[in-house]
Amino acid sequence: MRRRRAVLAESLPLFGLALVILGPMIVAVDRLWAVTGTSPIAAALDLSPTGQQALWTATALATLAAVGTIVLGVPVAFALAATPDPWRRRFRALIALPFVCPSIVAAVGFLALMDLLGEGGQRLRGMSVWPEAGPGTVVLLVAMVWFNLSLAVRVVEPSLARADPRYLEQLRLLPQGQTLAGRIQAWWAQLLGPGLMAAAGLTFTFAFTSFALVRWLAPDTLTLEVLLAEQGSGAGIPGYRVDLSRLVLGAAVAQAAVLLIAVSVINAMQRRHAFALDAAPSEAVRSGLASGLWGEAWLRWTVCASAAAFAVLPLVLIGVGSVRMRTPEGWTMSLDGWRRALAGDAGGVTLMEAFWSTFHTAALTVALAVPAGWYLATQVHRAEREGRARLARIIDLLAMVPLVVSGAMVGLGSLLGLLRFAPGMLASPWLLPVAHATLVLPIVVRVLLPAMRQMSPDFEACAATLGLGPGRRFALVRWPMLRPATVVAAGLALAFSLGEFGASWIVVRSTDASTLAVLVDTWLARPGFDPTTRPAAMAVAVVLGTVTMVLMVFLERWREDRVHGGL
Amino acid sequence: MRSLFMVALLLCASLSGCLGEDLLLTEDCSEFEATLREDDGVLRVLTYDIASLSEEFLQDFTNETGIEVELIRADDAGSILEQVLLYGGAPQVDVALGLDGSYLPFAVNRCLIHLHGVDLTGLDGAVLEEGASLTDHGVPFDHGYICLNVDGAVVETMPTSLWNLTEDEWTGKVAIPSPLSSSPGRAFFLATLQGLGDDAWSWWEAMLLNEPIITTGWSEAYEIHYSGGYGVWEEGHIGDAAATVSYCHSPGVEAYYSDNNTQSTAIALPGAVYHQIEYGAVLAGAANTTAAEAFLAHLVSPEANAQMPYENLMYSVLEGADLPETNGYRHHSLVPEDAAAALGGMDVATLEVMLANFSALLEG
Repeated sequence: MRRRRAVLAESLPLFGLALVILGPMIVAVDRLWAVTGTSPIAAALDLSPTGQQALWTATALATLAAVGTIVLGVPVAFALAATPDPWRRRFRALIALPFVCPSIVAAVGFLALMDLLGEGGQRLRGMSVWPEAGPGTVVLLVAMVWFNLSLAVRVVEPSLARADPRYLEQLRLLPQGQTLAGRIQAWWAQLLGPGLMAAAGLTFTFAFTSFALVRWLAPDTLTLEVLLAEQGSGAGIPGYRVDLSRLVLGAAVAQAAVLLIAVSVINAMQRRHAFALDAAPSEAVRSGLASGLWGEAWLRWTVCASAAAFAVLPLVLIGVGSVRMRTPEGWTMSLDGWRRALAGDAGGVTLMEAFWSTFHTAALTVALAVPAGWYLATQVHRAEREGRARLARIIDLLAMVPLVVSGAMVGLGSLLGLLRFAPGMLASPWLLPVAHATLVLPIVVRVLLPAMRQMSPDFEACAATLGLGPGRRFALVRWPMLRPATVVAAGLALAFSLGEFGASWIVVRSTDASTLAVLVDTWLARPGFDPTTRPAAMAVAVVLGTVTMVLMVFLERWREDRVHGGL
Repeated sequence: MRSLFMVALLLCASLSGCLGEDLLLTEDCSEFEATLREDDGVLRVLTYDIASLSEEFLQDFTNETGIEVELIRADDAGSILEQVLLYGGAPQVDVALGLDGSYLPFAVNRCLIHLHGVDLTGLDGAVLEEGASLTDHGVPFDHGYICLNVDGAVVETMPTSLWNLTEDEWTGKVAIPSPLSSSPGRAFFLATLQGLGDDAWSWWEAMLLNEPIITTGWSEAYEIHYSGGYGVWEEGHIGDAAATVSYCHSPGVEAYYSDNNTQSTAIALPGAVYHQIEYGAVLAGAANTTAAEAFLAHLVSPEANAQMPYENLMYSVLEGADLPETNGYRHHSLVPEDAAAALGGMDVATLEVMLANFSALLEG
């Protein structure tokens, strides 16, 4: 009886989280189904030409972004792994910056880059990856690769940096290791394959759900996420544009189906990637790598420096853009954009108001997401250890649902659910942190779970044998071993919340809150007749970018040699 | 896993519509009763990013009346309407600000707007006359005309008819915000329906074959694609459109901010001009209708409303008000003689059908 109660008590939070994660989606689907009279599957199968085009465009662009990221990321990871400290750390910190760069800041940075390139930039801006994709998609693709390059490096480089080169030396003595193809198949594919697949899957997912980048870099291009975000607010209204509701329902289901496949691949590959890791002294690894192609210093430097410059350039240009203002005679340097942003006449929100509101939201997000993520990761890990693989997969999948479900569906479902059950909550300051915490949950779980998997159960068993109770076992064994991963998870949650745009863009429509990311968009979206408008957007982007970058550099110092296998 | 999915599917099928509210629409407003929003002492205003609602304006209002105001920002007029419709009879805001004559009727038709008691004396007679069918429900607070804007530096021969734009020399050179997602786009669409009559659909068919650049919003059309506006200075400008749909006074605004310089010209082609009037409306179920009406009265007061050309880049609705002469603002602004307005006698159901038809035409 006591055992059953304990199981129930442990499961209750799981049901609560499942309700928070799945509830809005169920409410939204229910409403759209009732309004359109069409089932979700029928709506997805009967997607209109616009929806089909959006699905094709999003899938093709995300696939190209994933391939491009891996193709560019692998050499950078090799070059980094072969570079001695302290430059390896420095380059890695710079290359890692885009990973937490708010998407809206990245979009502004690439717009500034196009401007710097003059007529060439304008030509580039007008180029399409394929004719129907729309102008700006070439730049969009480059930005997607820029965004995720550090992801590939983050996933692959630790494997390289810790792989014992003696295995490769031994392989060379065997028949299969005589040829390059044989070595790739027997060694590199085994070592890097799962990690690369996981990185490609994550890149695909992030690119597929990218909103701010598409909105600003390829404004004529329709992907599923853009369709859902921009059209979603008109869906679910009885008797009003039923065609739109049907399109949104079908698009949301199609998007969830594609992302479910991607997320399943990521989960499976990450599990294999965790076991592919091996430990070897850093110097041994570097000397192993340095005996081959990557022994050439000029090559290492060229690759690392190019990648670092590629990572940093758009961010630097935002700073320049914030003090560059047009006049009837040409360009001039001015602080008017900063003054206007600080005075805040974009709907009355000043830069500092948005700054504090953003921090407040981010702090609450961390306070909600880290315990919830810890709990979910613990449940997955426990189920794995107890041999209940199916339960582990279900909880893991539940944690990944926020990556799969469109923000528009979550927004619509939350709005309808709250209107129905708790209308007072619609204006609540908790609404945005809860939305952010839900969205950041997959990232927290993806950081904590590998760390938990690497923790030997013997330590806790030993502590229990010594008579330590659950509280002391947590304080003396579990917490110290998981603290680095927890700090990284909290930092990533903080960084993500600071720059989150899509959900904020939807949620702030029902509250008076604003965040820096939304404020950048507000300034960008204003008619730019007044020449201080665009520099004001850049000024807000500078503040947002700087805050997240500083946080990233701090995180990288923590992550170095402390956390392995996760993001 | 499969069984779990099936259970979820069956659960959803059996629940379909159960979680939502009554989806039946009320046809007779006398039978409609909105749920009053709980009065928390704060006036909640749903609006798009209207610059004239500055901190100073809000502070003045609070100082005069003692009423605190909280702004909820929607993306545009369409988003305001959609939120109002989604809230239905249980509004979470008191005032919807920024619905124009083509959007407000949708909310009125669903009994979601409270009949206001704001005194409209002193407002422009023409504006009140053109918006007569809506002024009981909405308080007009600014207005302007939608026109085609043409880049005078690129175009040698100005078009004299909308049909000119379907000719080869204009292939791929006209940017039009979509009537499905943009209020200037919808205004232009209504102008063609009202101005071209039976020929409107033929024109749209011919126009869509001439590869126009259809954008989701005004910003994308004007800022990114139009070669004659301030967008040429902006990052990421493409500039492939020599004409776009914008306001007839957009060239005036360009000149105002550029020391009386602009290469953009507004032209009033038959069937391409629309008089857009923007309204503030008190929602049925508002927590404090008196405070809401006081807010709207403050918005159309001479002191506040005279600032519209500067702060909201629109005409003031005050009687006799015009655009300022400074830097060629007025000089470069076109005031058309004939313009379509509101729904032109069409009801909202017909407009919905027209928009669905346009959507189908666009899908090809």
